Amino acid sequence: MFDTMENKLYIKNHKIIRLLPNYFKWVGLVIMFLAGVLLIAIQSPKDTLSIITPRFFLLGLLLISLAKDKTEDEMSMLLRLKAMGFIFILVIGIIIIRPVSDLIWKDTTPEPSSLHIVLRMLIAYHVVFFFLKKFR
Amino acid sequence: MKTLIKVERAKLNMTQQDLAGAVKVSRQTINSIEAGRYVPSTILALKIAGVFKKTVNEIFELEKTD
Repeated sequence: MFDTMENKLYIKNHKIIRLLPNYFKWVGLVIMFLAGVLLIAIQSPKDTLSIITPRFFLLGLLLISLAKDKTEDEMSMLLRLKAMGFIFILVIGIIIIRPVSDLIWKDTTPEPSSLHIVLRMLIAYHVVFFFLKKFR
Repeated sequence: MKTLIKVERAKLNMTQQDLAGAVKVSRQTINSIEAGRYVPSTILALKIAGVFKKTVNEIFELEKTD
């Protein structure tokens, strides 16, 4: 975040995407946890809090995604890219296929909101990134 | 790409973790390079070769499939 000249050169030379410091993972986790607790505690589904809280959950997930690993290197950057690319193509595939599958299975569930799509994308990204790192 | 990192490490009695620390990457990255699952960038290849005081060509070899 507060890059020195040396860090800036390192980022440029190694073609690394600028990410947040590692402790943002914990910040994200705390935000997610608090938002999760609030989501469970909310009684009325239509008040302001119930609209804001999922956004905070999303913010927590985003902060975790954007935080560096303990040892961030060029390979983890490649794995991030792979995970993002895979999820992006998967979501597009699902959006294309969904109307067809709805017709076949006569599913009347309404289309998910953009918030839910992005939430699922980020969760799936974390799962894919985790397994890519585990089995690299 | 064929690599002689494992051999060079053995000569210096170095672990993957030691080498990873020397070139500031994760141990898993060194493991992937040794196993041929990942081809390092020029900068990383130069750094690795530098640790062993060799040239990049002495550490990494192109294969017919490359």
